[in-house]
Amino acid sequence: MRTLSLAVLYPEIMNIYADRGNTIAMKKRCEWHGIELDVTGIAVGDDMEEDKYDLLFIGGGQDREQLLIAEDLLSKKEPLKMMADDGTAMLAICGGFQLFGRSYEPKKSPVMEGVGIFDMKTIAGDKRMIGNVVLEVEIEGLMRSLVGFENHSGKTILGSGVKPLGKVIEGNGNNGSDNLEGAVYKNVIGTYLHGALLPKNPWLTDHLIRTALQRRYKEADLKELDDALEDKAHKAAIARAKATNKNPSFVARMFER
Amino acid sequence: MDIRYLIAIEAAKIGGGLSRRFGLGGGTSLPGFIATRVDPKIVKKLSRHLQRSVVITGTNGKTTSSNMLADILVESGQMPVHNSEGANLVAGVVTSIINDIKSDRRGRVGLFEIDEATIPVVTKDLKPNVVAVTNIFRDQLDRYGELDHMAALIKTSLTYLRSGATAVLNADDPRVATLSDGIDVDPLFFGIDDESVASDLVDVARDESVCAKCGSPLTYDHTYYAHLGKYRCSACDFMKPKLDVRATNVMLGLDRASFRIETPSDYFEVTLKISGLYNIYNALAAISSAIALGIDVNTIKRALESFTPTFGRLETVIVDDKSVHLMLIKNPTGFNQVLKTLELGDSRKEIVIAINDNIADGKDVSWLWDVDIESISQSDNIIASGIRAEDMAVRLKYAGQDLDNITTIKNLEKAIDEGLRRIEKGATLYVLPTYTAMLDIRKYLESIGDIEAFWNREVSV
Repeated sequence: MRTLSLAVLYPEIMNIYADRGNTIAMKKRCEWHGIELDVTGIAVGDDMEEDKYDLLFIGGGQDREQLLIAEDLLSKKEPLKMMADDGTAMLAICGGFQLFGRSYEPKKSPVMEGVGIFDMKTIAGDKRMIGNVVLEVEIEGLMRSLVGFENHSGKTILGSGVKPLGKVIEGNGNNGSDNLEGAVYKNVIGTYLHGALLPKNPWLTDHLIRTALQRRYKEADLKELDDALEDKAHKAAIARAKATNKNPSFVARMFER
Repeated sequence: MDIRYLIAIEAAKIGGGLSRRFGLGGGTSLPGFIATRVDPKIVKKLSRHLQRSVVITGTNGKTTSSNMLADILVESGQMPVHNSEGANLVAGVVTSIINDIKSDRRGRVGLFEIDEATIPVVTKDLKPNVVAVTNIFRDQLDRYGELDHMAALIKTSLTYLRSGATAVLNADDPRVATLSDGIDVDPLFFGIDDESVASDLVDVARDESVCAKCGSPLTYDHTYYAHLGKYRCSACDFMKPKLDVRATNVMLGLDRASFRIETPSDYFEVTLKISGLYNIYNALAAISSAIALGIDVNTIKRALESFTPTFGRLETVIVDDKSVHLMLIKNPTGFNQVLKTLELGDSRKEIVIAINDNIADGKDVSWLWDVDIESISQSDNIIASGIRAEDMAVRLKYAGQDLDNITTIKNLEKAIDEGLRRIEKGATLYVLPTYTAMLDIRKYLESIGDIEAFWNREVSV
């Protein structure tokens, strides 16, 4: 049986919007694909060994939780950058995504230095960007849709050394103005999307698993799974995004509750 | 004469009447919505109709706590002006006071459950005598931003109170326990003090991990559920405050709970006709608020022992000799508690889980991934329903449920029909809806089952 290992950074602290759903999705799909996935939680103060993991995940947190881990994350900068440069499949969401950039400047606390895997910076804005999101994403040469929910006030601006994850079809994206969302560097993907993200986008879960298999076993065959429920949820999320992102009328708001 | 005020009241009454006549719903908020549009100072002006008022806020337990306190007030001979329908934004509060004006009884007690985001606006104008805070959980973050922001909103509202007002605070919730710090109010701390009901599991819905004072991690001697428990800061001197009103000797059954209440001057035993640790917290919030209002303990005990929850929180409706058991779910902690109660039930259950994502439910359904869905028995049959039925179905699949046990029926009425079709006479269908799904399901059950007509009972505009 093929085995893969997943490192989850700060699972207790960085889980503000149930990002643990992404770990559940990776675990389950590996199981269905006949792959054993070892999951290791990495806490503040733990060692980060750069040659031990095939997959890495970090979720979101509030400013306060980010402050709690920012220093420790920075101390793991070298192994994390080595993993990224070596093609490890990684996924960073929301607060974790921000700290994978060069810096994050919150409203009330000092600037946090990020690990700089993504050439980007984030500055806290005044308006919270909240709602359903649909992206158009190109991965493995295919155009796919990606669905999720965003909730952030940080505005992220990408530098020249990094590509966006996708184009915003519904929602705000990185900053609400350039129509871009997320970031991609080698096999590292960053995004603001919760949902949890992976369960409703099973193709992305499989992409991460395939990337990890390719790097470890030099082959990445995955069998076809029955994704009927996931596909229905994906389509329903697109429809819901289109319906909710219209401005509600005065009368509709009156009867909302 | 205040023409604007008078027009606001009349417009509200007409709006409420029209809404009821044409069956539009929204009767618990619409009149207030209209009145606040016509006269922005309406809350302040209406507050003259109240002699004293109590505000109950927090993420979980607002409605049950305030319903318990309403029963206690009635038992003590006071008829509260109460937004008892769970209409907990400004419009709902205004509606409840307007509904009461025409009854022309002055000098009454106002009792309002208020949404965390609305509380500064309401307290500023209402100047309540007691503000009770049940807890702060991750609930509808898409609406309010982050937990710290929610705590800040409540703290701000406490600064608006008159000197001598009481802040009734859940001491077991570290974020709530610090709310009165540095503010000129009298804190009254309540909590559970009984290690025998502490959880030995590390709860997945832990929201609180750091000290609200210094930001260092908190350590727990034990937790009752989620982040409620006996805690201390690992770095500074912050710890669970000394309890003014404590519950000890807690015994939990399937459909009842008993405990002893101890205050600095008194103690008494209570047996509730409902179970769940969360309901003991609800009772503690109500008891502590009643004590702050000077109500005697015998009255409190009598009212609580006859208390029955209403309005879909936890109730049974009979349809065609079959029972429908409604259990409201709002967030991971509440959902987990409901699942724990379900584990005490039959071995092969038929369950409908109805997930909506309207504003009142929370627009972000991510929270389903923080619920310990894995604890649902593999032998149960589940119908996923509501606007986000498909999300629930996927969550069930990834929790390891057999695909044959998962049915997706988006339409709420059809889901209830199918659930009822699957059970025998005398059996129970368990229905777990989010807030707006609960409203629609209740309306449907009203039309097919034996249930008191909600709108007729609650609305009088």
